[in-house]
Amino acid sequence: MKLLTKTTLYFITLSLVVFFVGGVGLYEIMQNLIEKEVNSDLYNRIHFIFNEISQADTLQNVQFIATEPIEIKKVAAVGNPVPFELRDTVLYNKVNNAYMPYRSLSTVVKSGDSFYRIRIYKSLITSNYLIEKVALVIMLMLLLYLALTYFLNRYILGRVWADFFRSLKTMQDFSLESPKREPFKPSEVIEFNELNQVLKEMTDKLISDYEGVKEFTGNLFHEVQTPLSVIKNKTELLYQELSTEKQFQLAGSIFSSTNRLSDIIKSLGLLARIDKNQFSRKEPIDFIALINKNLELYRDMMESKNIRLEKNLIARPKKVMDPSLADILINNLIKNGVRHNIKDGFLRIRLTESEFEIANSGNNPQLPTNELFRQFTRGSEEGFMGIGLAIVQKIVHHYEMKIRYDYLDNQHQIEITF
Amino acid sequence: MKLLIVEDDHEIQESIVDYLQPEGYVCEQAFDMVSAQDKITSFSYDCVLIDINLPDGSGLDLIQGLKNMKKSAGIIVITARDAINDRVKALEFGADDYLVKPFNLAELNARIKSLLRRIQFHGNNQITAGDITIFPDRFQAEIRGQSIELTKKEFELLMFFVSNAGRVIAKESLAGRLWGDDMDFSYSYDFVYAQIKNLRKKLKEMGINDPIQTIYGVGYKFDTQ
Repeated sequence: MKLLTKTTLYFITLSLVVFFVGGVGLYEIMQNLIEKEVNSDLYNRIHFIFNEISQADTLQNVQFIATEPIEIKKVAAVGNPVPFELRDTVLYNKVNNAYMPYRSLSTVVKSGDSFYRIRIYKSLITSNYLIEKVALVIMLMLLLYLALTYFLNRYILGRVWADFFRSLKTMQDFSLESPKREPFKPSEVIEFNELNQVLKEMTDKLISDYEGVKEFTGNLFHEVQTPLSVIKNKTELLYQELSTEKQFQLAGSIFSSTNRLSDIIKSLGLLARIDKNQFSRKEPIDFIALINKNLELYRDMMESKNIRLEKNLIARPKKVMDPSLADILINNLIKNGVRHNIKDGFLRIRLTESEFEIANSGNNPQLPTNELFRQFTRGSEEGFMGIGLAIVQKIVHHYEMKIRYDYLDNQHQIEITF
Repeated sequence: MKLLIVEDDHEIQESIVDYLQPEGYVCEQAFDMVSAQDKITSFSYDCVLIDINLPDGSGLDLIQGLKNMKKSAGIIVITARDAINDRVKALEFGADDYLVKPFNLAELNARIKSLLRRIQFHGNNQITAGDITIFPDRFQAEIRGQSIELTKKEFELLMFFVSNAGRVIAKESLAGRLWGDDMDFSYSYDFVYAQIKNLRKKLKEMGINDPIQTIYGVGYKFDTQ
């Protein structure tokens, strides 16, 4: 969830709770106030009526001083005191032609010798109306406030976090492969400046470490070639001096191990050079010719394993690459397909406008498929397996192509989408 | 035959000289640009071996120097693995061949021989090893005057053996020779053995005693004696 979405969501949820509680509370308070007002008005009036009665000792005038409906009924004698009785009711209103809510207050008074029940009414219509309107206005105000604060919130948050997002973007664009990064812009927020500072220190350290490692490996690959040459050549010379089988076996082991080391260094050097962008030529590649050339290279190897070739080159993909890298890519894939094949197996190659697919029979790699592309992944009996595929993956990523590996029913399949 | 070896690493120099001297070459050594330039101005060589990376300059300048002096020496350059530009330039400047470090001495020996043959016999030479006669420029071989049918790989193999006759040759060198350095052999040399088996069979059919001796764990030794 995005930072702004999350804060907004929190804000809205909390606001709604507050508004709901506040709204209900306010309504209750208003209701209460108005009810009290109505009641006290009713009591005032009834006391006024009592006053009238006690002064005039007659009910004659009572009807006339009432501005609102009043009922006076003669009742049987009752014992004192008669409690006041409040009641909500409806009365028919001729003007409006409808029943209207009223609150009535009734009691029994004694006028002369007779007892009369006096019931006075107060219309609730105005107070209900008032509550309704006030509630509506409050609701509208709240909604308006909510909308306003929502936008304000977003705006302010956006403003406040802008520097953060800028730093984030800078970090997202950061890549060790092309460390020409934008500097962090100073922010008015102290915490963001501190964050930027920490990030800057970390990336600086990363870059310098990475450069150091790159330089180290570059030098290593270069410097190691001469001693390797010396070991190889001296072993070749040693071969000429040896006589016993045991001596030859020992020297042979030295020679093949040196060759192997030389191959590993060669591959690692290649990976480092791709990283360093040393393959920058851009030429359209004739993949069909490239595939045929590399298949020819491995023909003897395939024949010695009796591997059946199924070649289906349908179209020529239009891909611009460094020709050396394209060659290395195809070479490594075909090599991989031949090398990890089984006797009397098959190698299937399919090339379309947008895809290169190579599949071969082979034993279960006994590895999670995503491990296969890592350097120095230990394969079964074949020694280093991953380095060739690590090169493939490096090239594929270098040109932002896609690669997919599948193993199903003793069949390895690698698919590259250009 | 007089060779000049320009290489700054003493160990490599010694190895090259050790390997080439028994072939009957006179090997002169230069460890830097200055002494190499001195030598190529003062003497004539049949073949000059040049390491491009020298402590006091680029071997490329030496090639240009040789060409400017109209020296007829064959030039083989040695380059680092990742210096493709150097390789291309060296050939443009007039180098005849190149080797990539780390290289095999057997390969170097074969290259020098082939280069010297090209320069000296202008395509009309033949090499004899016992009863075998090879015509390198026609890619043909004869056994006691009788032509022997060889595939391209078998012919190359025979040539390589004959060039390094009497030497123990690593199977890795053979594989590199026949399939190139860019091919990874995955430490299985079955297809090298297959080629050798075929060549042996063909030689045997022609009535030749097997000249290819297997040296277990190492490779082969070709001897017609």
